[in-house]
Amino acid sequence: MERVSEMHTMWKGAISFGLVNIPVKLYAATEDKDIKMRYLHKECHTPIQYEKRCPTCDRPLESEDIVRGYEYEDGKFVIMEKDEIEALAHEKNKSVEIVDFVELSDIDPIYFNRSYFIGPNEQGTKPYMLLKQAMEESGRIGLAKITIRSKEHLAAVRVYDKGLILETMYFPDEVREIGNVPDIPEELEVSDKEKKLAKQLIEQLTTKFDPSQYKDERREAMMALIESKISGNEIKVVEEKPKKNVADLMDALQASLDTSPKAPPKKKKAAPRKKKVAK
Amino acid sequence: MDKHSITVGEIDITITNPEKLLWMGITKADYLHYLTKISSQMLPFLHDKPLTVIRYPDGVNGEAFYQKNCPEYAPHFIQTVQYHDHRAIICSNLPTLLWLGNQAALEFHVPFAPYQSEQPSEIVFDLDPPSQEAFYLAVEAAKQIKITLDRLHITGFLKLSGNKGLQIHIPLPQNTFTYDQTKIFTSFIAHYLVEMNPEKFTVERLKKKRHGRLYIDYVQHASGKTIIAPYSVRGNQNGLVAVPIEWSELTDELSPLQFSMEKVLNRKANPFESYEEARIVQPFQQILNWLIGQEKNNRL
Repeated sequence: MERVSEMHTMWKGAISFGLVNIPVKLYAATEDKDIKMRYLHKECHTPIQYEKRCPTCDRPLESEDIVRGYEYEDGKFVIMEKDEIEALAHEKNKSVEIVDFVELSDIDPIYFNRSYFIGPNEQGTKPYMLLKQAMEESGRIGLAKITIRSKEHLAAVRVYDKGLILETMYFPDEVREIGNVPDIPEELEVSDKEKKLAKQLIEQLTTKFDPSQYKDERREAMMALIESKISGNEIKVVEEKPKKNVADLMDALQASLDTSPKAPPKKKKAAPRKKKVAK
Repeated sequence: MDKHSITVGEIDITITNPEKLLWMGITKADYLHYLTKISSQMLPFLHDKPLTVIRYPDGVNGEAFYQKNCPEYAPHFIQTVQYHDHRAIICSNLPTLLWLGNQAALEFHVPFAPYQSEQPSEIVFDLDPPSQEAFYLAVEAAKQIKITLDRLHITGFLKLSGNKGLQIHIPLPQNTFTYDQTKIFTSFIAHYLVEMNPEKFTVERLKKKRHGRLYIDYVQHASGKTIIAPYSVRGNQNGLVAVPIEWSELTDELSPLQFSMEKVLNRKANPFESYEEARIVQPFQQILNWLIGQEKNNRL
């Protein structure tokens, strides 16, 4: 069931620090492995369809009928055109400028959002290795700003294994205050004896971090259940017949190939009842 | 033990018990003769493919076993690669073919992708009728698939499976498509055939629900699955060959039993000759784009 998926470039641009400019590509470093379920109509088990509708005009909408608006007051919108949004994002899109170098331990993990592997782009190999080795030897990581998919992020660039990785980070105003959580005590007296016991327990459970020890048990149980249902014949199939007449689709597909200029001419030896051509 | 040696180029291959009967009336020496004669046509289809063989050390009436892993005692000229969880043999030359032949490896099965890639370099429709008597169903399905492929400007190649069915190979450009993509195509073709002939064909995976219809298997085209290689012999009583045939031979007179090793060696043409040429001109990307478009619009 597992398939090796090829790495997909998420972003292309350059990292700069001082006068050094490194052309790079970013690749997603992590993936969520949720089991995807589809919603079906309970009666006939057809995957349901979502339709975009305008309740005022009472009709379905196509994507070109839809614009984005910011609700600045209840029910009041300013319309943000697509090119306006893109224009804002575009200016800095292509570069990640490292402005500060800090210690990784100075950053609380709460700031980290997503991880991207950084790969050198054309002619970037040498400055890439330069930045990697310099950071490795100084033990520092770079702080920068980057715009990915029209959102600006704070980012940490650091050495990871044999390459570099970029972690997008939340801006300070995106991290909430723990002070807003109710019932956290200020300072409460605990006895030394209690503390000693608790510390002993921690001592006993202390181990080296080994991520391979931990598995998503709920997902595995769900997969096992799914597999047992498949082999147990308890399969929900949308009727064997596809929704639309496949014969019509075949006609349409053929027509699209016949008219396409790229379609190679029908080879004679491919014709059904033709005699052997090869000897 | 009766031992002989064959020299190919600079390589000596030890042949043991050449007189041993592998099939009724066919000795190991006969089989090695077949492999030698057919090698130039067969080897291109084993090229870069991690091999699974079925060995019949005591002939087709004895016990048989699958072998995916290269045995420890293999001589130095046997090329191996790490593939998934094992060390697989790559059979790209005559010495390797003969060494395997001497091991009584009769059936040669290969995956759809070369070892370097997880991307299939061909699609194969396996038309396996419920019984030998129902071979006409495989003929019927092959005819219909042929008409369909012609409509889509796709070149397919036909072979007998060497058992009771037919197989249609569609070469694809190397390293271009994924199994998820080929499945969109195979699923479409399979559903089309079933819709046109619901009484003859089915995509039903449960045997008891097939009711004598021919199962059009598009699920087997996946990573890790294998198919009998063109020109491989089968470990059945008759020693039939998974032989490529011309589309013009696809008639109601075609029998799954007619091609023994001897008959195959007497054939002049190689019907798979333009396989590599077809690989690069298939308009598969266009078809795929179109099908994906239909899928997006929920018409598939």
